[in-house]
Amino acid sequence: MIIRKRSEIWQWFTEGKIVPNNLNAAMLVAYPYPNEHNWLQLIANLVLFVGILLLGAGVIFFMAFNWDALANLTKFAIIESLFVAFIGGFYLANGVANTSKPPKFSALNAGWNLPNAMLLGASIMVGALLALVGQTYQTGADPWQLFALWAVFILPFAVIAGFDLLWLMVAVLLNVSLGIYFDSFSHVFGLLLEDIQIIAIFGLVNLSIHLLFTLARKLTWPAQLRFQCPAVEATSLLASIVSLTWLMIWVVFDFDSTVNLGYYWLLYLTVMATIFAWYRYRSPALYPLTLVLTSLCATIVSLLSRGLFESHDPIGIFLLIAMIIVGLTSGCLYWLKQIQTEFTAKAKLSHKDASDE
Amino acid sequence: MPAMSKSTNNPAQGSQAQLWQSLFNQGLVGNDIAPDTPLSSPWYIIGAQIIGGWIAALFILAFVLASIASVDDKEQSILVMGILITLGCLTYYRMGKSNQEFVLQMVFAFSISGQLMLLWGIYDALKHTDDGIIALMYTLVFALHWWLIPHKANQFMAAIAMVPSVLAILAIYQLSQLILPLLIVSLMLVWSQLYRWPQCYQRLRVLGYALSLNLLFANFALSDMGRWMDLPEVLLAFDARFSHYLAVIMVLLSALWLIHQVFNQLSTQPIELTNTAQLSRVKFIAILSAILISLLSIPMAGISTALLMLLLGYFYNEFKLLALAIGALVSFIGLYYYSLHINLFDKSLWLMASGVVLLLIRLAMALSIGKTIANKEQRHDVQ
Repeated sequence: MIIRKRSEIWQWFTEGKIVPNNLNAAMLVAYPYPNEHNWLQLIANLVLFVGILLLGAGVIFFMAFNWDALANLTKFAIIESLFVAFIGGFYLANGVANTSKPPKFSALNAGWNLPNAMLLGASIMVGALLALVGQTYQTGADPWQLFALWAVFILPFAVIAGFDLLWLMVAVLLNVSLGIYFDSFSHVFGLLLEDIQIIAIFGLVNLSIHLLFTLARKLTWPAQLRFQCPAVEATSLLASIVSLTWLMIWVVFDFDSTVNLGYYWLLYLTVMATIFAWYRYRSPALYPLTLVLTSLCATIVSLLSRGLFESHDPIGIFLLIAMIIVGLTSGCLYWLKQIQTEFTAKAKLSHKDASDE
Repeated sequence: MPAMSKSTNNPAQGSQAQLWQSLFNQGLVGNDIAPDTPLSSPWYIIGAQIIGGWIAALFILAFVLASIASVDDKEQSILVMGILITLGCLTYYRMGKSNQEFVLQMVFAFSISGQLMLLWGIYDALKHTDDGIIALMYTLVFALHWWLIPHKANQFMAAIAMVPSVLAILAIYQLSQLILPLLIVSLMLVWSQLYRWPQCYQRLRVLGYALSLNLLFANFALSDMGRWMDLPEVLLAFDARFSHYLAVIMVLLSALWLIHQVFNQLSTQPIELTNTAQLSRVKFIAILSAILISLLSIPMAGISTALLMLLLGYFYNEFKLLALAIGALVSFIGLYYYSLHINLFDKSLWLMASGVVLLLIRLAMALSIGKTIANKEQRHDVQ
């Protein structure tokens, strides 16, 4: 578990254990200035990734403009050439990286490298190509299909790269396609859905993405390393818990619902209890526990607020609820700090055991 | 390893002990026994604390409003209540000794609530006078909180609110063209002077983040994308183009100053990978890239600002600033689609041309550095 060195040093400084003149030097011990090699890596990655993003966005904008002077064949040729160039670039860069020669620029971390940048470029071109197909042949497809197909077609690239940014792109495209679909249709397999059910679906889809990445990372199998994407795990869990919390607030304040709300309570409590138990005992992590506790606090406050609306003397209840919120949040904070210490101790012990072996 | 053995009775303190030992080895601390300090909270716990504090503050505000509903002079009462609660909280923050979570969270909620009442009261009391005076009063309230409160979450909230209050004064007095340049200069000043006054380190750091967030928002609001939002007319009624050019120049000057700082700092380090000629070549590439990116910012608002923040975050090892800048960079490229000042065709050409130029720079860098490494290896073989 990483400690926040900046905060530790600041705390020692405020306690008088570091003299004012040494604060800067102490921070530099914890966080030294980047050296020449670090800067070269940053500049190389920056121009590479920003260049690919700008070029990709430029091509998409160009196709969206639908320039009449350019024949359809030429438009297809531009996108397909770029796509082939990116794929070719990936094979060349990957070949160079696999040879015994040291790479000219090693990445900031495993993901930010030249082969993955090429796959990112190819993934953007897939989207541009799909949009152009729809525009040229007037396929009559709905916009949600474009995003869904885009997500499906770039899946192999994401698996090959095992790169956070590409997986994040897949997750965002799936959510966007789902959003556009429900905006247009509001039904699944002929079953008309209420808004409350759509929120639940968003929560469950993102929870599934989180589960998929967590399990794929945990299980020992050949593709394990391709699913090491903490950013995707964190954002999908956040999206899921925010959706489920919103769902519960909706359930609490939905005075005239036509659906059975008991199922939502059951779903919410089961999901929260499972996430809590998993990250408390099976795979200790502080971030999911913070999200679960914040969600539970929000649900409890919603319940109390509903009681307030039904109360005849709300003045005193406002203050009571405020104090309950303070009590709940400070209780959670206190408990999370205890757990943080416990997790850090466990991490330290397991690290010690591993180094002893 | 005496310090490690002494301080690792509680294994949670192990990493702290290593850090302490590094400081001791550098002669920055007096003894080799790491103090038993509680672990600091990560950002998401502080985020949850802020959300909880805000919701509680709104309920407290509702309670006070409901309580004084029958009072004749409601405006004055709310101002007085705001002053009393705010002063009470400030006094507690300066003099209080309790570190109990409940007490700290309650004071935080009351402090936010008191500030909201104070703002309401000030607006009601001064609404018939100059708007600039109201904005000035708001600035003073937030500045006082930012300066006097040691509580990090509260300090951050005050800093976040203080910056737009200052900007509102500029907008009210028709000086809106100075908003972006002032934000950029302040950002550079704050981050570069972080350690000048060690006692103010935390204050300046939260101000640095507040300025960064406000700068990103200002870039968004003052560009064409701002039309999406229902912004006050006063904020948009100025020569945006002039302000924009001024901001681009300021970003370029700031980037050049930062590049100068970086190379000054690099020249003090032992050069491992390359030689001095190599360093000069890299400096030339860096300056060229800064100029190109600044030129790109003329049609594409916000890009150069996000890149400047990215460089600042990397130089000062501020991971959150770095992540914020990367997110802003991707957003500004995406939002450019909705920019109305040039047509989609021109936009696409700008984007493609700039993308190709950056990729060519990357290719030139790879060839240049590759050649240097090859020469170095060759020399090594000869020796």
